[in-house]
Amino acid sequence: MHIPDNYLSPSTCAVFTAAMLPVWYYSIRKIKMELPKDKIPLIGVGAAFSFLLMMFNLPIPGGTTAHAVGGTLIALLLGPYAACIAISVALFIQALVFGDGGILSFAANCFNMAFVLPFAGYYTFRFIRNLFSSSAGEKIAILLGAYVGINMAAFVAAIEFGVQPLLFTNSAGQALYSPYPLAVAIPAMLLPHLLIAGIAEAVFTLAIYEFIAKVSPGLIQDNKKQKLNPIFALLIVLIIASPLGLLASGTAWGEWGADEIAADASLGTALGYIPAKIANGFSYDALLPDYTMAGMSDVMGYILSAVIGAALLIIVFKIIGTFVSERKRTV
Amino acid sequence: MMNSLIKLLKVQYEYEDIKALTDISLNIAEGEFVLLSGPNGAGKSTLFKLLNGLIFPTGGEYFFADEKITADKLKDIVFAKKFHKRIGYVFQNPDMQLFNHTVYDEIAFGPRQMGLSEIEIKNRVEQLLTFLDIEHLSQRAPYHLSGGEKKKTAIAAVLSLNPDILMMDEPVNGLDEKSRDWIEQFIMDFSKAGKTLLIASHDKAWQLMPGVRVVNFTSEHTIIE
Amino acid sequence: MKEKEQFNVNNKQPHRDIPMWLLQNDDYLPQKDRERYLSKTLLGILGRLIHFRQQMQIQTESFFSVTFKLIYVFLLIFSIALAHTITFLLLLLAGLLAYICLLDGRQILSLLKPAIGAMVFTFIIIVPAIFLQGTIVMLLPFKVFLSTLLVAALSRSTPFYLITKALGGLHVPSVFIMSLDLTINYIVLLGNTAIDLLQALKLRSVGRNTGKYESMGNVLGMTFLKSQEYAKQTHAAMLCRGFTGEYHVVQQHHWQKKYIIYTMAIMLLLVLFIHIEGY
Ligand SMILES: Nc1ncnc2c1ncn2[C@@H]1O[C@H](COP(=O)(O)OP(=O)(O)O)[C@@H](O)[C@H]1O
Ligand SMILES: [Mg+2]
Repeated sequence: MHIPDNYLSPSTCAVFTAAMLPVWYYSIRKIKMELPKDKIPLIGVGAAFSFLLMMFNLPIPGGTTAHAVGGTLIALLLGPYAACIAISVALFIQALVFGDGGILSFAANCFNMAFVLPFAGYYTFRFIRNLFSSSAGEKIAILLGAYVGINMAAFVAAIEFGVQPLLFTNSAGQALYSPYPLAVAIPAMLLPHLLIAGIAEAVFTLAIYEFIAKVSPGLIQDNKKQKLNPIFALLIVLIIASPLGLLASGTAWGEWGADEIAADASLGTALGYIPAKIANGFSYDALLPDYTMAGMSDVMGYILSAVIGAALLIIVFKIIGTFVSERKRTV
Repeated sequence: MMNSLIKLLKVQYEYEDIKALTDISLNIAEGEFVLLSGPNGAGKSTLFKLLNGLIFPTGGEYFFADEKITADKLKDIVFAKKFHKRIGYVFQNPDMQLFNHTVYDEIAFGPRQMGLSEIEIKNRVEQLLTFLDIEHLSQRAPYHLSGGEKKKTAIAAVLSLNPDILMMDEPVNGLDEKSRDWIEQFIMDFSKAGKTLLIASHDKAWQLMPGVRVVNFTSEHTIIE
Repeated sequence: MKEKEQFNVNNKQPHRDIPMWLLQNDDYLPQKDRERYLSKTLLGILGRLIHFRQQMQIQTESFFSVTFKLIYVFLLIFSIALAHTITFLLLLLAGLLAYICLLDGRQILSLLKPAIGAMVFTFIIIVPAIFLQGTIVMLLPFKVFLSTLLVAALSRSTPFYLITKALGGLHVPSVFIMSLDLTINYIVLLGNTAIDLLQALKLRSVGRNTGKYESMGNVLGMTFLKSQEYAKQTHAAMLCRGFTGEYHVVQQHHWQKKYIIYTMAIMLLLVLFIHIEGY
């Protein structure tokens, strides 16, 4: 679901940036007001989870891939506002360091995965849990919340792709940016998420949530024990397992490189041309493109990328935590 | 009862894990002469730092002239400067307080910042030089003065701000008899003139000074009167 | 009682009169002034120096002995310097990040600040070289970042006196250790003195300071004078107590099981380095 650069027009990107600025601002304010200070470093742990989950590419019949995001999970643990910031920062590091998702399209990706996803997931969860307040009801609410969240995000992403060829074409009628209309983009995005990534997201969310509820209830309820070691152990397991994401060899729908898109057959036949702006639009060289490292096997590169990404996210939020708690101490 | 100048409510302070102030509640009114008495390590110097806004309570509250003192408030530069102007703090070690090239500049440092005219500044400095018996040191470098002379210079440098309250941390520590007597006399005169004073000393004899209110600092880092 | 009489006002040398203006309260409203020169620039830098002081309180009960840490850091820095591909450096980066993400936020900051500072500084220095030699020299700032981070991490986790002790055990010449020891001593005093003087300056900065740079210069000058004086006194005190310039280190080299792990850690580093760098 990471939209690369040049698949959305710069004007589309600008619209989403304008939409995300107040969301980020309000989320930060909410976090400052409502989240206990000692939980701020936990946003980093949440972001690290999300980062790792997004590295697990799942193969989808038809040659593409999709992945879970973990947004609903973070929203359940720390609230949707913290989830929004956590995923935004994770996406930022993915774009900047690993070239996953574009720089210009960063805000659009945040809108889908950091805003639509956790909020849709969280409020679906709340709604269903209020209907059935049993413990089975809570499980169902978690599963459905996660499922609805990621599919809403995929749906919104599909619309963003789908409106591009309607709005931006050259004189020959060839698309400048993403070439597929809504009728193609929506099923192409939604089916993998409805059938595979959504189920993965739901299962991951419930499994990790229950794991945390068991080993470190303090993260979920206040005044209970808050143990981080098992959580770090889980992170390490995810890091070591991350190369499984390499097994899905295709490229996710909508994340092709310029060389792949001409041969893509989502329209029934191969597209046959490279949309002008995708061929030569904005380009950014990431430090570790696609989670690989020159001179190292893909598996090693993937694991190291996972370590670097997850550690960076935890570090970032721990540092932010010091500024916030320092202010508290001196007031 | 005069106006309250300093009010501490259950103030606490720790250096990392080391307790330095526990549960301190203290009121100082204008014109009072308060003697903080207590053993080394009780927390007297720490209390001075706190009263001067160099550190902030980790628990409890500190009010100066009915205004709560917090780190945020002292970020307001105008407020901070006014606050610092109203407290004159003579460090335990005058070596650490003097940084100008001459005694004259040292004393003129504060008034110059307050935007007084050069004539007024000269007036203040010269009167203080006379008052403290250090006219002859006017052009000397503070770095090379004797301990007692340094102490007097530090006092003059602080008094030139005309603070509302004068605080001195162990003012006679390490001074000879003559300087000690001089400082004792100065403190008594100053108090008699109606100025507010907060002095720390572990010297029991000082508890007998006229008009003094003794506040005992215990080795448990709290105070009893 | 004699003491009581001592406080008879008339007993003492007569005091001059208190100046009139001291008996009135000023109605003073300060002007706005830039204050960053005090709090942001020097106080910040010196705060970092003071970190050395906090170091003395760190308790270390580590599985890895100080000598091992010292050797390992030395090896790592050596291999960083020799590395000519980014791969090995990235591997170290991953390891270091994983280590520091376990520390708390303030400790992380105290490690990252000098490392990033050193990196930016190196980067600025080599900017001209990038135009001449292409991007290969870009490794240099990264190398500096990693090395500084390593040294910072070592100094954070290990009190300095233990490092000098370990150096003594490794038969590093005592002249070298002594100058290191004295330097650290000097820096601690420098930091403490500067903080005190800056506080004095701050407390008396009650208005518009037209000579900010002069004041700053005075404080700095005084800081150096004072801390040099104290450092000399410290050294003299060491000599007076029989210090001869030798760092005697009593060491017992019992065979311990953990040495196997030490050896394995060193082998792993060497194998990785040789494999990745293709020697
Ligand atoms: N900078 C500091 N770091 C850590 N502990 C300190 C520091 N300054 C003072 N202390 C500790 O705080 C306590 C109070 O010290 P202090 O206020 O200097 O006492 P006093 O001035 O009454 O002798 C003592 O136990 C002292 O060791
Ligand atoms: Mg003291």
